[in-house]
Amino acid sequence: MRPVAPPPTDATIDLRGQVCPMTYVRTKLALERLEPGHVLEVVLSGEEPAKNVPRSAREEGHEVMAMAEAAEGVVRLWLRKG
Amino acid sequence: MTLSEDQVVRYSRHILLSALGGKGQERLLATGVTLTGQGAAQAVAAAYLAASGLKVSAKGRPVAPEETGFLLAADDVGRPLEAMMRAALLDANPDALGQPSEVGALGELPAGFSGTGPWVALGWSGNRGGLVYRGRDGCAACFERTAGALSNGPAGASAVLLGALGALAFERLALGLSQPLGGLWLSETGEVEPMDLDRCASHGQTGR
Ligand SMILES: [Zn+2]
Repeated sequence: MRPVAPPPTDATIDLRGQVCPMTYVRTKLALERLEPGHVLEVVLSGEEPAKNVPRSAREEGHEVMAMAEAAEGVVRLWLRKG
Repeated sequence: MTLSEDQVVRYSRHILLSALGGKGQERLLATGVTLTGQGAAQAVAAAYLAASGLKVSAKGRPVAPEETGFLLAADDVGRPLEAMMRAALLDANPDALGQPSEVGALGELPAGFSGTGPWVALGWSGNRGGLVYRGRDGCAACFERTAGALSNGPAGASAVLLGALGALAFERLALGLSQPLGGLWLSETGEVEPMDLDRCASHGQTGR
């Protein structure tokens, strides 16, 4: 994963230690609280969430803006609400 | 209203559905259903609606034998339905108790319908199950005429399926996902077909 400049965010949720599908349940609830076009930053740990959360977000019409490895096994994901 | 941590976990499968989400679940939690008829299909629908977090209430009359097996137990037969339902709901899903912001009605026929929320009638025509549903914008007279062709009927496997369909129809109306008025037939073999509506004088006769 190449380093990216983090986009400006409107909200952040820390889902480290959470497993699927609760990771996307909580991501979806956080996205519902935002206006369309606003950006949510999601902090995730583990391989499954890093794969599933961006895929589910895309399927529901949100934009995956960027993803970056923050630490060993931890990724930061930026989603723009669709 | 925001979902509590317990509710996020309890309704996680609902939240994941694209048509529902957290907002849809909040809507279901704010919707009430009064049980206005009697029968196995209605009892099944009540159990599904309670599991989805709708507020379920019933009028005072004794529990009938065919209503046991889902929320109610055989011991409850002959006891007051209202009190037995409250006890069962407290056990099954406490979210199903309390004050809703809008109330509709679900009844296995013969039953009466009132309230600003969804109306769902369940009944039978021979061995065929039928359900008629109406949202706020549906014509009450067309609903009542169409439901009038149905009567009470058998308990059994098809009652379970009819009750599950009735609960789904009620939830779809509560979520604004459904036509304002419609009906379905459920055949003995489990096939679902649209039902022609028996239109009132002001909406003209169609179908049949
Ligand atoms: Zn009419």
